Amino acid sequence: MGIGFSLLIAIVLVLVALLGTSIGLNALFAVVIPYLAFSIFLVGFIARIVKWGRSPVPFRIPTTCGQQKSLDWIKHNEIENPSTKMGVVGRMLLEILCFRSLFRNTRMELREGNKLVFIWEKWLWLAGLLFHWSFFIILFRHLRLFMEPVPSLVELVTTLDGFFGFGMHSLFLTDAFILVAVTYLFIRRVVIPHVKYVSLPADYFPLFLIFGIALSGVLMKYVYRVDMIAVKELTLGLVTFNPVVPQGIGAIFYVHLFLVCVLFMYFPFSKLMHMGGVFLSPTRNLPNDSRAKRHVNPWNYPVKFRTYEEYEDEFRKFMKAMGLPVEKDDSKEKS
Amino acid sequence: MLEKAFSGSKRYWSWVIFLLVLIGIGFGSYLYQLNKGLAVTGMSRDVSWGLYIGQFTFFVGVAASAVMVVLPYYLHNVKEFGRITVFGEFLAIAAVTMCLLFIIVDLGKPMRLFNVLIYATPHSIMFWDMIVLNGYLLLNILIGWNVLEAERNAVAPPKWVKKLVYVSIPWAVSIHTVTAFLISGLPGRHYWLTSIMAARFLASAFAAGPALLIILSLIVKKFTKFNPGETAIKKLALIVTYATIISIFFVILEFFTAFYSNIPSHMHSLEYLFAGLEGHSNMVPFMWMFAVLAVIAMVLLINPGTRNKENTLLIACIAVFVSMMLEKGLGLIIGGFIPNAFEKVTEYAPTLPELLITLGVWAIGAFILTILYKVAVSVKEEVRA
Repeated sequence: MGIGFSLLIAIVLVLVALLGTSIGLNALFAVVIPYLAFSIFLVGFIARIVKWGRSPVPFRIPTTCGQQKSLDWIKHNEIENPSTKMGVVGRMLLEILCFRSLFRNTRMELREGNKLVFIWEKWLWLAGLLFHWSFFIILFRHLRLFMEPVPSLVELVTTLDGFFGFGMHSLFLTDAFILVAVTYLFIRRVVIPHVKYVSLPADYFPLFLIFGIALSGVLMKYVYRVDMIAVKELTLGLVTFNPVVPQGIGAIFYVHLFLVCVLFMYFPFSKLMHMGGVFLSPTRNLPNDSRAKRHVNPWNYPVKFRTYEEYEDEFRKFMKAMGLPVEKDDSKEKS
Repeated sequence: MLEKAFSGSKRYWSWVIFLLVLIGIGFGSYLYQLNKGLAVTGMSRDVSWGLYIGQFTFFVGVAASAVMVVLPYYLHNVKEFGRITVFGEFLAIAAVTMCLLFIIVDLGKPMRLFNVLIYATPHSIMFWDMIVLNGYLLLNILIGWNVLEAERNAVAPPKWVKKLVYVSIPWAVSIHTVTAFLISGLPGRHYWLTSIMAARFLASAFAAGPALLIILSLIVKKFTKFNPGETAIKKLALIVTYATIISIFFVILEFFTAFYSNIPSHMHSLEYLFAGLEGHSNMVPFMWMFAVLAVIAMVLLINPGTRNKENTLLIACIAVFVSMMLEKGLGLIIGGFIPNAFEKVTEYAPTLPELLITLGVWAIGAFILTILYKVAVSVKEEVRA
């Protein structure tokens, strides 16, 4: 049901864009919705981050998988169990750029009756890397639409990505990679029973949406070509707050743009927020130095308490009368 | 399992960094070639295949030779090879990767690489070569990795892996056969127009590949706690011996056909290679080095005393490897182009960028091999600990 529902929504979104542009609502789809989407994205993203940033993290709760720093002669693993900020930075970099925790993923299986085996679960890691890096590079390449002159780094990345030729076109490798990776991530969700069991529309929908964006982009580049000069006129108009709606851009462009806008609007309310959230996960972004440093809960309020000394001062004579031992015997002191 | 490659001794890391530096130098040279075109190489209109294609041909053989440990183990139950089959398969992975890279650097416009897919046709041997080489790479990755992972878990590998092993055995033969067809399928080149080409290729492959595997096994034995096993090395040495004899025999057959039948076009290339033609003799020292090394190798290998002793076996294996590389990776390819179709001699000598790029590809091969062998050795040490 989750799959069908998500797919239906994705298809409806495509139809909305096609229908909207066919009845001449170009200005709505080219200007109003992009501005709206970007505003929602910006405000929503910041609000989420601020909300998360304000949640208290009183103690060190990193999840580690290496030897903690202790005595000098015990070999310490600074990356897996960081003791300093630099170690945390290294750990976070590896996590964010290489998905190190996924790299360590293993699958357990019973083989030959009851032998427990561990199999390195590399495909999710590989597909995840391929997907995220491709997405990032594609996004980075799109900067050429929003900048004039195009920065040389963007040109360089575009050249490298489009190194291989395909007939008279350049073939962007990331275009192929992202479609393959998203397809894998979807199939995995459907085919593996326990992954399917925990999958909701909120998991399927982003996959369909991103697949739709990638596919419409690929179709626009390789099949239904659009007027790129007009597109750049539009995008530059948008970023300079001087929007124009050029005529004659193909409908496929509006489908692409509308899906991107939906992604932007949906972003702050979805699991896609892991983009910002990964930096805030206290199980990863804290050094594990609880043994070396004392961390006091910052919102501890002053508690009124009574020491044993005060207690004994009050009840000493009764205690002595009952024959209970006391720490301070004032009768002896006096004598 | 790959995490095993990320922890190692200082020596391991210095070796890895050394290889990375070489790769960097090679890559820099490649960018230069990409910018200037193939004109920076020693290749020309007359000699249009040089060091790159020669090395490609040679390393296809090295890759195919994995079958020499896989076949006895899986088809004839030669248990001793069980310890080193994965080394053979991992060697194949590194070698095939090198082959693919040599093809890419030999393309003046590498951006047109995918033309082989876009204009795919069964009439093109190149198309078949792409299929068999990439297929062989995939087969070896799947087989080697899964067998090793099963060994680590102390269980039998999954059933489908064994089926792939049976596929990989004829597949190994196919990669070198198709590569031979690339060369012998050109009727304009007399030196290559010999129906024994594929057989020659396989024979020299089964000499050079296992020779390299012996060298690598001895290195593994010296530097790690894992011992590939003396009987396995002895059996491999026997394979190298027979294959060397057969491949030298095949070279002699070429001489007989050309000189007894007195076919000028067949004789010219051999004359150029071994004696020089019309005053051109660039290749002569290399070919005589091949001959001398081949004789040394044969003497050391045929004599059981020297074959069974590690030091002399090592020398013999190096001699086999270098001689086969000179013969197949250099002489055979270049010899086919000289003299050219107009009976003129245009000589070929690799240029510095060409040599550096070749070195870079070698370093990439060594790098892949190092990573894979590190994983394999670590797993085997762990299992036996």
